[in-house]
Order: sequence, then structure tokens, then C-alpha cells
Amino acid sequence: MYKVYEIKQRVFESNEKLADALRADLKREKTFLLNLMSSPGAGKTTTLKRTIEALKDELSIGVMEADIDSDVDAAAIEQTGVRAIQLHTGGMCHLDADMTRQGIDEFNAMDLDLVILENVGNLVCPAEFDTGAVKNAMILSVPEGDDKPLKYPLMFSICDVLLINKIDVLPYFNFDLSAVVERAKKINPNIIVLPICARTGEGIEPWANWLRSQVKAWQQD
Amino acid sequence: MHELGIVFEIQKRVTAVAEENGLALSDIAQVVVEVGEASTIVPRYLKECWPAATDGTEMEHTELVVELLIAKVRCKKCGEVYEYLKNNKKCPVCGAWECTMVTGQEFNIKEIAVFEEEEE
Repeated sequence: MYKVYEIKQRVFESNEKLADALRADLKREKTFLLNLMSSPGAGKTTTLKRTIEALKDELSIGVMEADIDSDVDAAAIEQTGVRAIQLHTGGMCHLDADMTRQGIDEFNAMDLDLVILENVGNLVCPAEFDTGAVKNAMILSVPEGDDKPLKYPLMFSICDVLLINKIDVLPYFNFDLSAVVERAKKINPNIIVLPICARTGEGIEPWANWLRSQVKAWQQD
Repeated sequence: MHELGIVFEIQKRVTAVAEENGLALSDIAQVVVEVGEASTIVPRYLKECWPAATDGTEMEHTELVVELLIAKVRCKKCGEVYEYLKNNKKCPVCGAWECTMVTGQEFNIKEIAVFEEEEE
């Protein structure tokens, strides 16, 4: 005999509840959490180092590095003088709200203004899982190609900011910057697109300004 | 290929639901999920990942059934409701692509079937 139980619940409901609870705690602590995503090799760690340099005198910053294994990124970030935590996803291709919570707990009572979560390098899985971050940003680098918004629409639809990195090599690639902007805005009309070059620091200031104003707004209201 | 992570999420959700209803995981014969056509989840991959994710767990004999829900959208220009993929993502009446999703992004656990001993 089989008995059928009607459930009708979203699969992601558990994770979404955990994410909302984490956001509420962060709000009380006045800590702004940014979820930074990209493919492997798009320049997340270099961009992070630039971002930290631009903001570390005015904000207390913590970084959570998510990796399947290894701590090379956390070691690189610690050189900038901010606290970095390495989260191992144990083979998983993304971080969920529970893993993010464990990282936040490790920082406990450090009174941080800004925590940046460097998600696993992947344009697919991290887009499905709400980490509990206040805002999402992604990096697309020029060598990856201008067709990525067409191939990974979900990622582009959940991000508040799209950083286009490695613009110093634009002349060598068949990469149409205006086409990317158009494709991304078609999926997500509110997305903010900022071209940067993390290697030289070009374009980092507008990005740092955006973050600065977001942190301030989160801490005020 | 993100279905393995998603399958683990289904397992977690089913475990929570079983707890709420006082059910033993090993008694669950079938889990039925609804996947919207426009949800970025590929049913075939879900089915293929399921045995790998449940192997050696209490759910290893549980079958995963995937029901596909057709994606329908409403045209922002003329208001027509149409099947999104069948019409190549364009309104069949006025040709506009701007639309809002009505159905097709679902990813739900619809029901679970539980094996129960017949009462004497």
C-alpha cells in the first residue's frame, strides 16, 4: 500500500529560509555581505585585492574564500592585511546559505562593515543558491567572450552588478562590450555594468564607490 | 551541469518534510518533483544524478519522478499568453520578445509516496 503525501513546496525553500535568517542577522550586526561570482580565471581574487586596497582605510573588511579544496586564495587575500577565511565546499560546486553562515560565525563579533564572499568559480550552480548575501556581483572577463549572457542567463538575472574585467586586452579579442551590456540588460534591466582592469586598477574607483554607498545604506536604514 | 548539487538539495528538503510528517526515509518509495521548462534544470540530468546522490543512504531505493511544466509567458506589448519555447521566445501575435513569465520556472517537490504496511 502506498500513501501519497501532497507537499507542493519549492525545493529551494530550506535554503531560502536560512538565507533570509542570515540576512536578518547581518542587518542587526550592520554587516554588508557581498556574494562575488565568476568563472574560474575571470580575476576574482585580483579584483578583490584591488577592492580591499580601495576600501580598507574606511571599512573593516573580511573575506570568505570558497573553494572545493586548497587555500591559495585565502593566503593571497591575507597579504592585503584583512582577515580571510577559507571555506571548503567538500567537492560541491557552490556555496549555500548554511555554509555561508558557518563562515560568518567564524568572524564572530569582529564588527565587520563588509564581508565579501568569493564563491566557487562557476557560472551555473552558484546562481541557484541564495547565500544570504545582501547583493550579488559577478565578473565576466574579456577572454571568456561576449556571448556569456546568452549562455548563462540565470547568473546575469540574479546579479546587481556586472564587472567586465581585463578590458586592457579588448583590442586583442573579438569582444563586443556594447553587445554584452545589451544582452545583460535584456535579461536584467537593473543590472549595473562596470568595465574594469583589476591588473592595472582601471575602473576600480566607480566599483568601490558603489560598494561604499551600498554598505552605508545597509547600515543606515 | 549543476544537477548533482540540486539533487542533494532535494534530498535535504525531503528529509525535512519526512521529519515534519513523522515518516521514515527508508519508507519513501517515490519523490515526485515538478520542473518548469524554463527553470534551467534538466530533468534527464536530475534523474541520472539521483542514484549517485542517494547511494548508500536511507533513500537509495527511492525513485525520483520528474514532471515537466510547460513554460508560458504573457506578452508585455499585446497581452497574449503563449507557450514560450514552442514559439521561439517571441509573441506569435505581435512578434515582441518582451514578456513576463507566467509558468515554467517552478522547481517544487509535488508529492512523496510512502510505503505503508496494510493494517490487519
